Amino acid sequence: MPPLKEDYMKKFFEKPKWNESLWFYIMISPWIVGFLSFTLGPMIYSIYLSLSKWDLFQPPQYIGLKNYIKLFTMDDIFWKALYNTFYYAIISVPLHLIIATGIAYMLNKKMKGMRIYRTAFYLPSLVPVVASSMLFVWIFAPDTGILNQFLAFFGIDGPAWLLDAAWVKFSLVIMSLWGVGGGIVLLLAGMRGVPDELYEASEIDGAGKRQQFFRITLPMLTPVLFFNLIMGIIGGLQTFAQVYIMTSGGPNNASLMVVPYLYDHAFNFYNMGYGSALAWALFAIIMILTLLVFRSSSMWVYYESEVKS
Amino acid sequence: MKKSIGLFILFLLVMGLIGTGVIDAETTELKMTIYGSKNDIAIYEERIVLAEEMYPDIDVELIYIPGEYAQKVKTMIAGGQAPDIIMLGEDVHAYSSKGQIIRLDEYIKEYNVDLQERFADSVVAQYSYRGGLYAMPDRSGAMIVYYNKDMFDKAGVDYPDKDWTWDDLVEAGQKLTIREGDEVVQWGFAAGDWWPWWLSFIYQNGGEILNENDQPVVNTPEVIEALQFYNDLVYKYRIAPSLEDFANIGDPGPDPLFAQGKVAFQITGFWNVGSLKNVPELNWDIAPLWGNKKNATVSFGSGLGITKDSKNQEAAFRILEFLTSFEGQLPIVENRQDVPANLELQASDEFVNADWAAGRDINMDVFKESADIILTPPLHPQWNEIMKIFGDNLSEVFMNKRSVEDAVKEIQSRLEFTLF
Repeated sequence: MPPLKEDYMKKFFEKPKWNESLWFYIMISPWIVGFLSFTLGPMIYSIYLSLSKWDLFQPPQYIGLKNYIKLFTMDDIFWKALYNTFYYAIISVPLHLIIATGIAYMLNKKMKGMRIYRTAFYLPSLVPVVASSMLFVWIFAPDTGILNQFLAFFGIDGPAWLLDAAWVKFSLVIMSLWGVGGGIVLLLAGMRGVPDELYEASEIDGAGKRQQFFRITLPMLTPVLFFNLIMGIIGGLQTFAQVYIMTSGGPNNASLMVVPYLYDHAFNFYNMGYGSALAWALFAIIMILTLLVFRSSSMWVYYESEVKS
Repeated sequence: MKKSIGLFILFLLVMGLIGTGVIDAETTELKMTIYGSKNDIAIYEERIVLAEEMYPDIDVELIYIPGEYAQKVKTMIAGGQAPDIIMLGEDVHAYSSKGQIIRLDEYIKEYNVDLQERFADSVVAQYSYRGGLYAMPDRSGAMIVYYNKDMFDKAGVDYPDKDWTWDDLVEAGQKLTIREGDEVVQWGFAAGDWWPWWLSFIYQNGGEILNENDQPVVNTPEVIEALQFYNDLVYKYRIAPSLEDFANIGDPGPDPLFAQGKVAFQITGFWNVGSLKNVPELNWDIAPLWGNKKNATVSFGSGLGITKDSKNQEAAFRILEFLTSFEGQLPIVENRQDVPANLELQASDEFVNADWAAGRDINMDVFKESADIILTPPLHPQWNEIMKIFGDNLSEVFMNKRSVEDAVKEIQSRLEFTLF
């Protein structure tokens, strides 16, 4: 007698592997449905748009690679925006990692009231960008802002920050450090995950605090640093809100970045096709950078007790 | 007896059904998008109710879009959900040039609207494109001079008027600027980097930014001289705050400074009348803008256009015609909202003698007087792009870090590149 249908079904679902992947798909389905219906379609369509001229009203006109050619050969503002974006990312991302690691290291000490400190350092990350932008407009005020008042205390005549083409990008970098709390939380969790026996063993071998930090803590943290680095690069290259709110890219595009620039073209100048081309150019740049960082990771990221020669 | 009552009720029911059916078939439904503040919505609603009373067969649904207005309207149009009537500002010709709103000239003829009698020519010109009118002017107030009478009296300076020249402006500004050491306690004048300010000065000097063929004409002596003078007000004559001075007080713009009694005179729109009601102790009045080679000012307002995709364009026009008539605009005045575009209403008692400033007697004729000095800014389809090019390059001039000549040269070449 052949086995009943139900038995098949039972066996099928009891297979532990299938069971797990089934749950995986059930759990992830809201995102997949959203991605397929709301994100993927428009993304693919925007490839077509980037090859056409579209003012949002009349039907898109296919123009081949013209947008990209204009972008890379004629549009000096794009290059300026790209330079600014890189300037911002190259300074702010490593600075974030260093400062976040330093603060996380200190917050990892056993001390009374540590929870209060941890909360205090994380809190600024919860402030919405719009609110902190308004706040920093005040902080960066040329004469009355607390930053320049602080510098004046040491006899330094601070620049006009947001109004000064030479300083506006660095102002945005300073402001970005306000959100360092997100990185701290991850790094702190990473530090707490380092097994105590490693420290104990090293102590017996006579390692000092400094050696422990550089030989144990830091290598063990590399997966978290790697994650922060990737997210930092992507986030930094996509900076939008601060620029849009605080400077609108000024003075004379000194703080213009790629995303605000593509927003201008797509939604203010009615050049949806050109805006799409800008978006895809940025996508390609981010993709290449991320791949490079991923490639390099085999050289400096240590998983578990991996040893590299 | 009972039976006949039953029949009568049945008759009523049937009639009722037919009746509603008939009305449903004939009611035209229109959608109209508007922007503005919460106060504004109520006033539009009031006007729509009046319009519907006039045309019971038309039903207008107001769609209020509080933020990112242009983007949302464009999305509605691109998504095949175009409203019938749209409220428009400076970007009117982004729509007209692409045929998204229709020319109103035929309807204007058909309904015997006398444009010249109803609106100021300069305002009609703003909403016209290639010889056709694309939006009915709805609200339209010129930028005017607000001045603090007490400060002028104290300094012994004559009040500003239409006959003021740039020299008078500087002279008054210098007498009205009070410094204590390095600190300015009272500014004579205040403006900033917003386009209506510097554009007015360009036109006052006989300059313009695009000629009638839409070619950029920025690199001219008139424009350079005007921008230089405008910047000199801050850095040479030192009668107006710089961008840095503004940043030091949190970038409020000139309006609050005037309200706080820190500025003797400024240029701003009608809306400031409403704001100044909150400072009854301030003794102020208004005047039309001065000139150099001629007087010129910018008008701020909105128009109403009909979309190409509207299925009821004629009904929509009837609504627009009513909304821009004397009766249709009356609520704008009654609610102290704005300057109506309708000239008859602008000249009427309702407008001129309304208690605009909470008991303060202000010279409301200024708006009518300003009507013929309103400049027609080139509301080119690429207006936003043009303004960004100006903003980018002037930002350094206004920080006194770049010469006007240099900036103007770059603006000219960038405009030539962008517009062709």
